[in-house]
Amino acid sequence: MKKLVSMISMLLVGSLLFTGCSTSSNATTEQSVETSDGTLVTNNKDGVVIKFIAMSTASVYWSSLRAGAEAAAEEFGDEWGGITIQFDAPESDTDMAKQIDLINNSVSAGVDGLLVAPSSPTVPHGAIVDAIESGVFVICVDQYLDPMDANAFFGTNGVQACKDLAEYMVENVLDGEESTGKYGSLVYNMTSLASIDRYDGFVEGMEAFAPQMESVGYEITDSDIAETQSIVANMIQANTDLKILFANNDRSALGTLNALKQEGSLDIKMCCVDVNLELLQAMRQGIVQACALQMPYNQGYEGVKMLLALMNGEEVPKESDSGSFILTQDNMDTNEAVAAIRQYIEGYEPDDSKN
Amino acid sequence: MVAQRNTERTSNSTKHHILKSQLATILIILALLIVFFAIGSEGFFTIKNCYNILQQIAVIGIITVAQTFVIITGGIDLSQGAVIGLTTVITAMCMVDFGLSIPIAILLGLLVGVIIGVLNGLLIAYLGLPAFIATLGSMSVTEAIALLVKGGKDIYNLPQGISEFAQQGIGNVIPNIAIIMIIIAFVMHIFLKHTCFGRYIYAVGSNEQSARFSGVKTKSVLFRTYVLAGFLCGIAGIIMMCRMSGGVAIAGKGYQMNSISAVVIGGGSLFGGEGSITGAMVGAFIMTILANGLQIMGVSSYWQQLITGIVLVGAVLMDTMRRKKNLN
Repeated sequence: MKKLVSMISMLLVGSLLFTGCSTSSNATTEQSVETSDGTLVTNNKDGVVIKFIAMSTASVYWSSLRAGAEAAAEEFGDEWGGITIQFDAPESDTDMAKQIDLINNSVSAGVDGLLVAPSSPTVPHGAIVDAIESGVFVICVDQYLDPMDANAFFGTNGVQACKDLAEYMVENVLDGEESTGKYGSLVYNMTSLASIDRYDGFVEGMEAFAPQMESVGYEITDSDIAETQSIVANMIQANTDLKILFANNDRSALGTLNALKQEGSLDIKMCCVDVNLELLQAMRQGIVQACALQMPYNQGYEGVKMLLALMNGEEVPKESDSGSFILTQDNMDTNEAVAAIRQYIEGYEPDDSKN
Repeated sequence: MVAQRNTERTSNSTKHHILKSQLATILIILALLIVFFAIGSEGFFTIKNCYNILQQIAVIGIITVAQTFVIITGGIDLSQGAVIGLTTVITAMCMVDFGLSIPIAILLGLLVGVIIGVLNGLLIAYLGLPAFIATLGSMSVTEAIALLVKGGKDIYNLPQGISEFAQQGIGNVIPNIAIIMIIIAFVMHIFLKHTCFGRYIYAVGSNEQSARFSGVKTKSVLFRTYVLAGFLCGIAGIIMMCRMSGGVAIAGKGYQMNSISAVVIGGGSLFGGEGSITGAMVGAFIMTILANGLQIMGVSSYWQQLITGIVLVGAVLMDTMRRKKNLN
């Protein structure tokens, strides 16, 4: 019995050792150099470790952001003796306390910089401030911190992007100011500011450009495609005069798309935030009218560049807008649109979305 | 008569022996993990990281104590995460929206835990619902209430002292919230092992019918167990609120899976009648240190999940095999 017990203990430890072999190397020796104004700057040419902490492991958006970060790491790696990008996130963007732990553990691990997409603007604030005080540079991407005590913020202005989306829908899909009817929204949650901002921006736009239209409110989808499908099917049944559906992330949009196809309600127009191949195909078919695209790849790429600049003792703008692009059926094959889509789908070609 | 008493004494000491072995085994695993991570990464074996680990385990540690009581009775509490969330919302609301003082707000927050505990106790002890179903139901209801109360929006702008309390500790070695967890674990350990009520809990979990025939008021014991568990989850909720500096309806969602794992690693049986707070706390430490160590080593989060699952199954496998062997 004792033998068996010790065998299993060794097996457990063995599995850890195996993982130990496949981990990315941590930053080795760091040299902290004091600049003229007294701040400590990491002058590490032996390799740099940057950790990207996303809101969750659930969304493909973070993979795109990570790809951008890794591209920057590869491009500038030689100057720094190699840049390693680590990635971690809670399983769901509801586990905000886990982000605090991830940030604290990153500091213990000795990373040089952090890219954080906070699931809450305030919850990780203390941890981020502690990290900065410990000499780690922190840049918030996609979602800002409140108060903005990170070194910098680089993300989309969700309110403006969705307001632009609403304007496009009203002017080009509906009847402009005279538009009547109802519109509904699918939001992935009402707890993260990114989600709330997109919804607020869309509603603001609808109220400004189509004052006669009525909102039927929002439904929370939890980024669950199947659940969104049921919710939208119910929404369609309940509201006869529904003209527009707005989904504020890619999974909510997929669920909405499925529901529209399933119900055969192709007279209802939909628009969304973020994009993927299926949504692009649907756009060619005329089911999806417009998508507000963020720049996840750029957020990762520029985020890493900003961290490297900070490590060099340079200054970076405290808050900058990573920009957005309104993708439509009309412009989807232009160079600008393809570049924007490539933020999400690496190496995308227009033929990829043609059936 | 004498033979019977001897058999009883033997089976008691066997049970005692089984538990002791499991405790020894998991302590060895914990020690091995610590050594492994200390060697594998510079940042692990530092005072600062120790502080972080204690902060990271505080909430889970307290709900693990609560879950231990429940699992020993042969039940399970799936509503723990939801109670944490609702407690943070109600307590924060009391302070921010109603301007109540911190002590009063905390008392009301604790009341939330007690109320859910009472609900669970009524459903399980007096209406006879299976614990899994009853607490699954109370979990849904509690989650919904937490979201309905403020339309899913978070509550911030708590008094400054709250977040400071969560971040500070004694001499940067032990966080305040960990001290609370340690005190609770210690007191509840004494309560479980050295009071009549504690013994009744084991009796009800081992064989409810026999316990009832022996004169134990089983329904009352079960009811009080769930109320106690709810109260402890309320405390965990308050601590969660301090850590997050806010009332967040979805805070703690799913945390009961961690507490159940910890209890089971610690030698608790899901069939009831067995378990200990010491074992469960070691189980909680194993899981927290595993997560902490793997993150510091830069292991991807997907691997982290895999390894945690392997460790959990491995620990339970060892326990199951040892029981089988002892039965033979």
